[in-house]
Amino acid sequence: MNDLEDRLRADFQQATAGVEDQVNAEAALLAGQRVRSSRRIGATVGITAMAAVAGLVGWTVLRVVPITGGVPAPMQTMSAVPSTPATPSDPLSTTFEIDGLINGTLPTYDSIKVGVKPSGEEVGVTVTMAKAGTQPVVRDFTTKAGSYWYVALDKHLAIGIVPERVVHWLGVEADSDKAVVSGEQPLDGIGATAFWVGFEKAGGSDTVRGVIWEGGDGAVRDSLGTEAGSARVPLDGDEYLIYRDPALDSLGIMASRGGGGRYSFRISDYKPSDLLAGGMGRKADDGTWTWVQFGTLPPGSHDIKVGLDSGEGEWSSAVMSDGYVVLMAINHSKSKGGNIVTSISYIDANGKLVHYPK
Amino acid sequence: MFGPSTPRQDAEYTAFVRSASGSLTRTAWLLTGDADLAAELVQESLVKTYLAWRRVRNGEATSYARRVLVNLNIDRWRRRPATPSEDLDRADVGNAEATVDDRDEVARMLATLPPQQRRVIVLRYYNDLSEADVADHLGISVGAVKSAASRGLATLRTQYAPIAGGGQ
Repeated sequence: MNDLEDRLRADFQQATAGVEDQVNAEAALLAGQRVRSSRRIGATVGITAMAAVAGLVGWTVLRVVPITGGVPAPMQTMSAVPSTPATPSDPLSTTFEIDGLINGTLPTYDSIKVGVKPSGEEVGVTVTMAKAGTQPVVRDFTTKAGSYWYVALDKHLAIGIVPERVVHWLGVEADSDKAVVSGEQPLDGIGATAFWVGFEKAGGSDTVRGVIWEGGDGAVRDSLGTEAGSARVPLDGDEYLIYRDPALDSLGIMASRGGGGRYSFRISDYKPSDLLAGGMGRKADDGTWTWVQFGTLPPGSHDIKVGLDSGEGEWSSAVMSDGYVVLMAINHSKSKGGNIVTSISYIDANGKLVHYPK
Repeated sequence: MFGPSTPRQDAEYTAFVRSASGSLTRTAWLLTGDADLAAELVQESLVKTYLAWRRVRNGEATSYARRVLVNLNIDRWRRRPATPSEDLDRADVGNAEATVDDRDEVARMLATLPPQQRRVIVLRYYNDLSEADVADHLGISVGAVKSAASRGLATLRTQYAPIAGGGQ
């Protein structure tokens, strides 16, 4: 074995001898300083810029156009689904009215009541599922206090508890390619938030990789206990929260308006050149469309230039808390379909000019 | 709050980057087989190291950056299998055809290993870390390191035979 080990050492040295170190120390320092600065700014913005999720006009992902390969597939869309407000008088329970669902394929139940009973390090959870004309179905669970909890109630429906008050619900990361609808309400008695999620496609509730949300401190966290990179991008009078969560392999966007639509895809499927493809749109009451495209550039990217295929489009960028640079473009002039961004160029952290399409 | 805050600490950080980025880049390339991905991983690990600079500046920076690098790559691997050998990017530099071929062969061999074995092999035989240090980097037991190294070496032995035109 020693001969093999020696040969490996030699071959690794030889194979990597020509691998170019592209890192510029001053650029790396600048990239770090940018991230530090953005974190400070982000902490301030996070406290003051909590937009309410309201409105009934939903966002939808209508097409993903493969241009350069590796184009992310849409993970989910979310229609605005009004949920029953929390009952202040009962901080240990909440009831979701399961109505107004997309395509009418759900629900199995009309309502789901989630009640919790803290007991030391455990929390008892009682879920009562009701449907008119039938006996309620009651299921009891036990979970650890202060931890994330999730259970699939059937093939279409699941509920869970996030261990903090959610400011901005971001939603569920699932592998089901069918639309997801969801809602969340506080469980103030245990400082937590209950949520439900429904899937059009049977079995969707078993494909959930985790959930992600914005906490009261403005940070975006996930059910694995990790903090995601995030940035808020004001554009065209609206504000968008964009997050990048390697733990859940998710890059996503949340609109603060239009029903709080959300769109995400896998980081592992994504390349910066994909900014030239895909997006989500919202149809306003007057029939016009608002199109949004977003993506990320590597940490330290700067001097960004974006080509838009319409003079009426706008774009913006921001440094995320993990150092990645988010780029976002919006356009109102499009009919359904078509790209907003036609070209991107930027200087990377090593001072190298990068341009797409190549 | 985060990262260096004085000119002296900035100077320390840039000196660290100059000394460590080459090794980090090569490690990242061996872990990924992809020059662009390797550069991205190194950039991200350096940013995180910057943010932790006050904590790691006294002799731990290289180890910290490498640990971040490996774990960033773990995050990627958790979501998708190792890159198929036919999709491996070539490194950007290296004019000698033989060098490129050698590099590709090494990348292809490593790509045949499961992610954990690949990480262990790279950290052990490129970075020359002890089994205990590899275990510390990856957050696994020394026994798990030994097991992964043994299986990885066994696989690589079968890969080497055709390259060498014979057995070891």
